[in-house]
Amino acid sequence: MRIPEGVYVAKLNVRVGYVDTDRAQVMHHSTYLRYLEAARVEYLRDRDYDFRAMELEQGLSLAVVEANVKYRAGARFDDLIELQTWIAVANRAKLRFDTRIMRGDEVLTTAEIIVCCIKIPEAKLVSMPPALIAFGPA
Amino acid sequence: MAHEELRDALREIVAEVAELDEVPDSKPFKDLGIDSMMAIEIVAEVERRYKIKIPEQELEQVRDLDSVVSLVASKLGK
Repeated sequence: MRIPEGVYVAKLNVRVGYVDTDRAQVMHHSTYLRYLEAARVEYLRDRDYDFRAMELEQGLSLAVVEANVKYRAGARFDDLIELQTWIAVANRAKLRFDTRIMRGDEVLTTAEIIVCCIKIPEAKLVSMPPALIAFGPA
Repeated sequence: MAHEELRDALREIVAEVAELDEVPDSKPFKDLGIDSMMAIEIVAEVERRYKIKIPEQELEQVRDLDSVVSLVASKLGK
């Protein structure tokens, strides 16, 4: 997965904890999803978008509707990994966050996570706010 | 654009977004496997193609091809 030219890339550095690993001593596959979520929130923070206010003040949230994750190599306890995240698709229906998880120059994992916008608490699908669509590729 | 031309063009959009071979006029989208997210994608494509705005409160009118044709025709003043 290559980072497209001209997109905004947010970076989140994480030190893999002991609790993140499994008996094979690599990061458990479910842990990646947790860090991918943190990376999406970090992306929004980086772009001065207040996700908490979106939930508390607008009553809107983002729900994951599709997750494609390719595990290429395992992260291990105490590794410093970097999640590089950008928005690859943005329209009224959805955002697709793409993330590369790196250990130095090595790509460990690539992920495409599609989210839609929902009205909470009834979880009704609504259009994506224009401010979020604007973060997508031109 | 004549009404039938509009219908054909919209049918093509729905088929393309939903990856369907056929889109009958009155068959409910949900019976064609078109979920609410896909319906918004259809609306987004229709807005882009015809340079119209379909407000949030009108999204629920998007139930089948007939309803899309009526909605778009009303926006285009047909």
